[in-house]
Amino acid sequence: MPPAGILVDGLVQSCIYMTMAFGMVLVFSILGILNWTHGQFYMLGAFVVYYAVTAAGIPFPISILISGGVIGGLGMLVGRYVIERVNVPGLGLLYVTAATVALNFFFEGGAGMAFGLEDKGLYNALPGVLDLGSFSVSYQKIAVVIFTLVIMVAMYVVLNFTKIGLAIRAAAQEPGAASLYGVSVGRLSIIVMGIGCALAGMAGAIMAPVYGVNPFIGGLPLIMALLAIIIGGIGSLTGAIVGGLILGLFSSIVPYYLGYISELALFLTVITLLIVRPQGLFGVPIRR
Amino acid sequence: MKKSYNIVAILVTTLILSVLIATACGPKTPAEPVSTGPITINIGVCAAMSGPAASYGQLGQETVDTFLQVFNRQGFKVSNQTYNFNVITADDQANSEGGSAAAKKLVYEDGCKFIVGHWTPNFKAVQAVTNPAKVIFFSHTGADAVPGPGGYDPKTMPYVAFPVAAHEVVVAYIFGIAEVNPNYKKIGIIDTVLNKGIGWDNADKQMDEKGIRYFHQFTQPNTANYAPFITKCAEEGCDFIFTSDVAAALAIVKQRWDMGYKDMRICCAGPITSPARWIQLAGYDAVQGLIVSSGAVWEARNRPLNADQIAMLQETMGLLADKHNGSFTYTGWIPWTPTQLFILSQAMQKAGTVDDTDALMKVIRGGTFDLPTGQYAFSGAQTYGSPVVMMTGIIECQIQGDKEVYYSQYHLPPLP
Repeated sequence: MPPAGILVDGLVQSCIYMTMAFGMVLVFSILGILNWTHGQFYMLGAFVVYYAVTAAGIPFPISILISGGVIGGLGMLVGRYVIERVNVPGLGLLYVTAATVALNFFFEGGAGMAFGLEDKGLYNALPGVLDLGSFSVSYQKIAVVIFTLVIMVAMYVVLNFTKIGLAIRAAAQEPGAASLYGVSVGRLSIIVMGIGCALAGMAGAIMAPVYGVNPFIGGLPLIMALLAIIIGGIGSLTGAIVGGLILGLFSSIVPYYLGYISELALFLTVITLLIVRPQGLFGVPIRR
Repeated sequence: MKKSYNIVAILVTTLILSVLIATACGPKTPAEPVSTGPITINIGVCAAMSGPAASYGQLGQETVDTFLQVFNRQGFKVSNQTYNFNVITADDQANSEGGSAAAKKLVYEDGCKFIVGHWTPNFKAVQAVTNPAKVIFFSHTGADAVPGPGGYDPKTMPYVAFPVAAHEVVVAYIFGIAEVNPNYKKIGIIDTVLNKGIGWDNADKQMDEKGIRYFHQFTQPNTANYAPFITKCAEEGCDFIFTSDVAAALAIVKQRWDMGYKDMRICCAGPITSPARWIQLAGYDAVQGLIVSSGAVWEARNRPLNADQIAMLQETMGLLADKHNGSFTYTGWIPWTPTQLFILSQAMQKAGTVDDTDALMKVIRGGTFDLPTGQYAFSGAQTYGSPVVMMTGIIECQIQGDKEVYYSQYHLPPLP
């Protein structure tokens, strides 16, 4: 059994991968596309919270919400003016992939030029550690877990008990039927894009004090979110949560035992899962 | 009539030839005096000016440009002619493709016969351009530039020399820590798997021979979460963690503090840009006691210091402080381009040439040079086939408050 500190660390990693994966699956369920810019929204969210706290003096918790709002708005703009325009019948998936990959590099390079390449830190946002006997955990990491719980509960409430949540679930299941019932699927797509990107932005914001901020922090969360989706099942929100949980624990426990070959073990596991159960844990079975 | 024309032609031709010969052989009036101002030699530097390591590349360019303002005031003389250096920096993006492109630009567009101060991990790509062009390339030893199977072959790379034995010097940091802390328990070593190979195998062997207690772990590149590795070090009883990567050191400094391992001291083989920045990034308390590399050569103890060179370096630090609101503490630039320009200028003086790279390499290989902390020699004697490496030493400092304070130094014996 790994030490308790490793399990807690794994839980913190899980929280971020869950949040990122949830946002990606939400977008996928309505738009049918994988947003390759998702990692850069994480990065930009971290920069928003950094400048909100250090330059504007806004308290950290409120800065996280601001980060969500700003990045959600940016996501809506990307959805409206980029994805909607290139998502044409036939080759839409290819065009959207190309566009979002290009935006991925654009945002990374743009952030480097706008904010500089040096690391930035928010160590004094929620400083201090909680001593739990055999290990300690920082208040920043505790905040990550609390934030994720709040977000997941909020998303559960929105998706299951609000009109917009009902519309989202309807459009995800049957967009044609949903539009017959008066759901504006096009407008809903933009809103969902905003929500998904806001989740990524807030994930970056809550992690900014833990690992620091620079233009290159978006790559790893994107890859891990994708892997979480594959493990959980593309299109399944429950799968995104479970996949994120498994991946986070894996990424903390396996390096503890295997060191640098943990990534090899991770990818072998994912490949094996794809062969044995290609739809993931909670996805719809694929009929050949 | 025709006969008279021939006579006239002969007479005119003879007259013209006579005048020409008289002009050539006659007394000359003194020529106007020719300007004897310094001649500028272009020196190339391949450095990361973009990407995650860009801050060091950009800082390196600024420090070298300022150093040259001081160095070129006097310049150096070769055969009664004064020379200055002009450093041209090309962005190598810290990768092989960028290194190759940068080297080609410096060699073929800028006409550089020397590339110095190289610190990025693309040795093979750069030397593949410089060696065929007979361009002298000063680099650092490391994972891709270790003699033998490690990528450096002195026989096929005769224009390469290593004024910075970066990998050999890694053990010097560890030996320095052990010397200052004789009762240490164990030193945890965390490094990226990119550096795994002959370099670390050699280092491990040296540490075993010296009886150093250590625990070695490798991580994937771009690792952000060091918690598993820090936990392992704690379980192994490590009271020090050493890493050769500055980015890793920054992450480990903070994460080990957050995990409650406040007594675990962190040591980094690289220099930091400034204690104030690290305090801002990782927190004041977490950074206290951090041990890092220092280029503050004037602090070297028990070494015959070169007063002139140190004066130049300290004047440069003063000019940099003026540019940075009165405070500039980064000394990591000193062991690289400026020190290597000292070596190059002395090599040119000894060889009596500024552009015959064969003659210069003959002087460099096995040659002894005056550096800020005394005299050091390149290995390789005078023959091809053995590595040309200069074993200097390291100075470590520790962070106390917001300052870097001298901690230890260690000098390695020269290679044969």
